Amino acid sequence: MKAVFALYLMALTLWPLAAAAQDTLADVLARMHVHDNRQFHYRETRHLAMLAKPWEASGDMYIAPERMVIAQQDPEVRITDITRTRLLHIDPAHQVVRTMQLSGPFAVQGLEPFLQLLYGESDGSALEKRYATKFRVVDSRWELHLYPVLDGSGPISQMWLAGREGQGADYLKLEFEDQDRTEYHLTMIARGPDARQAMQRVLKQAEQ
Amino acid sequence: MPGRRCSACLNRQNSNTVVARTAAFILVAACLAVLALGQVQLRTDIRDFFYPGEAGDAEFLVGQLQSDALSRRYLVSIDHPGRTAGQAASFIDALQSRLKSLDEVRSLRLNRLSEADLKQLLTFYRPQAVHLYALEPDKAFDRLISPAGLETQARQVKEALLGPDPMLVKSLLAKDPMLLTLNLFRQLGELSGAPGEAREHTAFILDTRSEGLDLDAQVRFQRQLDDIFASVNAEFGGGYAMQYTGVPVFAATIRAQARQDIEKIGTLSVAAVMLLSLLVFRSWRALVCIALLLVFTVSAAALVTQWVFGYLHGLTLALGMTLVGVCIDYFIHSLVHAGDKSGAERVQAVRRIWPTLLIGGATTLVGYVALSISGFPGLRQIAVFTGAGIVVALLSARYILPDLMNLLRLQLRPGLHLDGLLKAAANPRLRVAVLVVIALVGLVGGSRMHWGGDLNMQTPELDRLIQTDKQIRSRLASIEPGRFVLIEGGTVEQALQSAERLQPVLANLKAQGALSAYYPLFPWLASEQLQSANQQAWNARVTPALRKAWSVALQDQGLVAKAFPELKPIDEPFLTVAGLEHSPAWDLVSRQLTVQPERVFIAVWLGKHDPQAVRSALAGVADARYFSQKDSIDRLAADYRETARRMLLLGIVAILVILTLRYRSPVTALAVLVPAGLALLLVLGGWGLAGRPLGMLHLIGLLLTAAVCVDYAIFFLENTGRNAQRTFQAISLSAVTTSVSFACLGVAENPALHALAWTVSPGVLAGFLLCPVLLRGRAQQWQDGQGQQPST
Repeated sequence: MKAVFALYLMALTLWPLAAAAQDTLADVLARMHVHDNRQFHYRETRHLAMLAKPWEASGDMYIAPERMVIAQQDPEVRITDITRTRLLHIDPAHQVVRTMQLSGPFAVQGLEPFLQLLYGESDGSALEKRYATKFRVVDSRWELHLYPVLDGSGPISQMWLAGREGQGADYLKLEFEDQDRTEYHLTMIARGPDARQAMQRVLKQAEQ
Repeated sequence: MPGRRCSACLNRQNSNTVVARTAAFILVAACLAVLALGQVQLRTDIRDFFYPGEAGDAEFLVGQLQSDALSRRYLVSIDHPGRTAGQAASFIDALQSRLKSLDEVRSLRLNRLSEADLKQLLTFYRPQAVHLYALEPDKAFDRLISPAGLETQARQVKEALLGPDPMLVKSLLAKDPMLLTLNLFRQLGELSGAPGEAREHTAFILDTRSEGLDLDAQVRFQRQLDDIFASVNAEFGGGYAMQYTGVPVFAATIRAQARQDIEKIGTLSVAAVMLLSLLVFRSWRALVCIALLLVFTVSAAALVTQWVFGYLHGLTLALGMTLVGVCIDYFIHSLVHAGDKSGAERVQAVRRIWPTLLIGGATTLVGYVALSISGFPGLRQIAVFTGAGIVVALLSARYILPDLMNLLRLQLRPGLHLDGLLKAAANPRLRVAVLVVIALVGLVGGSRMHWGGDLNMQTPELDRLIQTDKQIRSRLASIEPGRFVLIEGGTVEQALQSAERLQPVLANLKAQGALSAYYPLFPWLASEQLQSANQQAWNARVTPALRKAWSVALQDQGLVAKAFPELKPIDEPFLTVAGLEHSPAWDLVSRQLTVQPERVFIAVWLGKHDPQAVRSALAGVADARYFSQKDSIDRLAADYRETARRMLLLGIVAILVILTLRYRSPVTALAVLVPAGLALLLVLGGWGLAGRPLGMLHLIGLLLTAAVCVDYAIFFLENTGRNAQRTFQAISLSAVTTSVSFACLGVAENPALHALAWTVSPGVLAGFLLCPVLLRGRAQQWQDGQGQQPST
């Protein structure tokens, strides 16, 4: 009876540990994969060798199952609408509307591995063919480091993604072959129908 | 006895010779038919038939349409009214992915440059950025290197770096530190108007693997396209609509219609003529005899046309089926006059009417030959086809028909009794009444007669396709379809220089608001002269002072000047047509440039514009002219109509000359022409009363009517068979078969054939009926003069 009780106590003691098991790569990939609507506030910092000082921008990023919309608000309003087949870039101040047909689903150069995580296979199988991954969890934060394993995979030499355990990414860093890099800090502000409505408002404004 | 035996031997020998000759004829006829079926290449491209080869505008158009790339291209437009952009995109994605899975689809792209295309174009044009910089190099480079110009350029470099594709910009900057390549695309944006594609439609371009000329494959593909669209539309709950256009769509429709016309006209015409023959001769053997001769005639005509032109046009064959009605006339005359005879008497009877057949054939031939000098390419073919047919039919009637009749042991008495008609026609009151009616119809109808400007070669189905084509093209770009500026030069360099001289004129029109947009070849390609001027202007300005000023401009924009390559003079080779041919730009350039051995054409597409203003502005530009497809067709129609008038006059004069030579009397010759002339007046008056516009094809119809009607007058007048009733029987049957043959053209889809049907068919009947009314006295007089026995 004592033995049974001891086992029961031990099980109760271990239960919180089991419930708080560390994120795995599979968990993160499944969480990242887009199956609903999300709205993030973002802050972008570009470090380019040709720029005397880093360039910063901020705005909202909308991620929906069929598209991603980056609505930059500062320093200038610019809307980038990415679907499976095309990228639409609107610069209202300069009255520039640029449409580019993409060579593959969500194949936007410079964002390709990130978009692969969002819109590719949810188990990351396609991603793993092109990128080597390193995944770790430190201080309640997960970190995913990707770098291409194939020559000619694109201009990105490395990508880092990070987020709090049990949550999606709140940090993205893309490093290019020429050492230039771009960082995004993301904060989720809405999810579900609210996020979708907000995205549709932005798209409607952009279409006008 | 030996004499009798000898006579029997001779008869047997003659009989054997007849059998051998006839058997040889049947064999030759069968071989010709097989050869014609196997050898004749039937083409249905309306442009073969329509445009004369020497007109430059048409040559450019035809060259473009026959190019390999365009001949297999479809422009597909999907209507998605009331759908959000996302819904429409999903539908297009689904449709495109299903289409891409078809083996037949070689490429499929939206009407926008893909990222890959853009990258390829920018990379291709980067070494040419200086060569293609501006039309006025000195001014443009002075503006560029001014302090304000450098500041603008540096700002644009920064904006590009911070734009959606910094990687591409950095790769360009490595060799083009001022990013002059982007200037090329900026110029294109300034030339064009607003984006053409509305939000309610999505258009894409689809190229097939099969060649455009492989119409069976194209028709199969069009069915697949329809099926796939229907299936995807159903999956998405319906509400989407698809339209498509392109050279293969037109080609397939025209072929289908031409085939349909040929089948309908051919079957009807042959069936009607055969039925009439059967009713009149009441003999299946006579029918076999006529059928054999017609197969021989049509096969020979088709082979001669194939031999002369290298192909036979569908419209020629459709129109040529009326040949059945014309050629059968000679067989009918021979059958009627020699039908109740046998052996040598039969040959004698045919020989007796041969001069009349010959003169009748000659006058008909004159009508068709006049067509060949019209300059209208399709009619040349018809003239050759019908001319060959008439000659073969005449010779067959004279040399083959008697043997064939003997072999088939034909004994015929036509069951057509028209004594009543002949007697009624003799009534002088009838003559007066007829003349009064014709005069009235001619006067009233003539005053209402008017000429139409359109050649109207299009069927309702083709008209619908043309409207769809215009609609889709207007969605693809803000271009006015069918109107552009065409530049012509002896060499590429000459044409390019002319095009460059034209560009400021168009820019001026755009500034004045007379032109919304225009799409020239520059800056995709420039003359060597201009490229050289740009290179010299740039190289002369690349100095240490410029390098320093540029560094300052970059720094002022917050850019690191050291990270940019140094500005350098350039010595890249010039861009040529050959260099472009395998480049990503060729697809765009080849739509506007047609290089032929001795001539080069450049088209400048126009947006919405004021035609008069463009025309006036072009007056001062050498080698450039405003092209409007509709104006061009109207002009061609007017030219053709004028030619047709001349042909009609020339044809009638030629017939008059032949008749005067034959009768050695201009009065008799004129009298023979009178029934035909009055028939023409009646038909013209009828068209006037009907309120229908007349065109070139009506005039051609009138010429053919005159040529055929004169035959009846000749036969009636000469009565070389020495039997007026028989002669009239033969003429009646000939007129009815010819009239029915031409009337069969009325069932065609092609309205051009309707014009001929409703001119020739009533004209021939009227011309035939007027013969006994107007020529009876003159015929008696002429026959008396020839010492003929009174008719029985």
